[in-house]
Amino acid sequence: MQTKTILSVSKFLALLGGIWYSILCGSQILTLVASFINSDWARRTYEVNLDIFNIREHNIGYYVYAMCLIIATSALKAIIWYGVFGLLLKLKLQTPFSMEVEKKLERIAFLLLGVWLVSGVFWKIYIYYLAKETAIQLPANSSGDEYFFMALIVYIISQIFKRGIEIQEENQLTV
Amino acid sequence: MPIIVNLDVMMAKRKMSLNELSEKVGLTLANLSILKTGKAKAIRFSTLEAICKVLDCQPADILEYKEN
Repeated sequence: MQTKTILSVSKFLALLGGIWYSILCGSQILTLVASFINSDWARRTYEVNLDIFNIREHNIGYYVYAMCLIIATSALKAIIWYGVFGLLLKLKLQTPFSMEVEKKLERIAFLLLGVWLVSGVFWKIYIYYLAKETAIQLPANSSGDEYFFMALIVYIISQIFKRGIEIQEENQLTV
Repeated sequence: MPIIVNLDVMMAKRKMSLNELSEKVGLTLANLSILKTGKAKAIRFSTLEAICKVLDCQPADILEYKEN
C-alpha cells in the first residue's frame, strides 16, 4: 500500500518535472530567437546568465553555441522526466519484470549520460576555450558530473533487471 | 539452440496424442507444447523420467544434440 502511494506521488512529480523542463526549454528557445529580433527584450525576459548576453556582443557564434548547450540540457532533462513518467505508467507491481520496463530504464540511463556529456563535458570544454579566446569567465556547471554517476547506477539497475527477466523467462520455460 | 527435442517423433512412433501424453505424464498441455515445439529452456529430470516411462524410451530418443 505504501509503495503504491509512493509510486503514485512519484508519477505525479515526474509529470510535473517534465512539464517544468519543457516550459524552461521553450523559454530558452524563445530567448534565443527573440535575442536576434530584440536583444534588450530577450535580456529582460530570460535571465539565463547575463554573461551569456555579453558573449553575444563579443561573438554571436559563441553565444549561439552556449545557448544550444543550455537548451539541449533542458530538453534532455524534460525527456528524462517524461521517460520516468512513462516507466511508472508501464510498471505493474504484480509483474514488474518486463522487457518494456527494462528498455525504458536503459533509455533513461543513456539520456542521463547525454546530460552529463552536454552539461558536463561539452560545457567545460566550451568555457575553457571561451576563457582562452575572449577572457570571459563563465561559471562551470557543477551538476554535470552527478549525471554520469546517476547514468551508471541506472544502467547497472537496468542490467540487473534484464538478468531478472531472463531468469523469470527461464523459470517459465522450464517443464 | 543445438539441443533438439524429438518428442513428436517418439509420439508418432508410439501413436500417442498430445492429450493422452499430457494425461499420462501429468504435465499441462501448454508445457508439453512448449517442450514439443523446442521453446523450452530447461527440462526437469522428473519430467524426462515420466516421459521416458510413458513412451517406453531412453532420454536420447527424445533429446538430440546437433551443432548449428
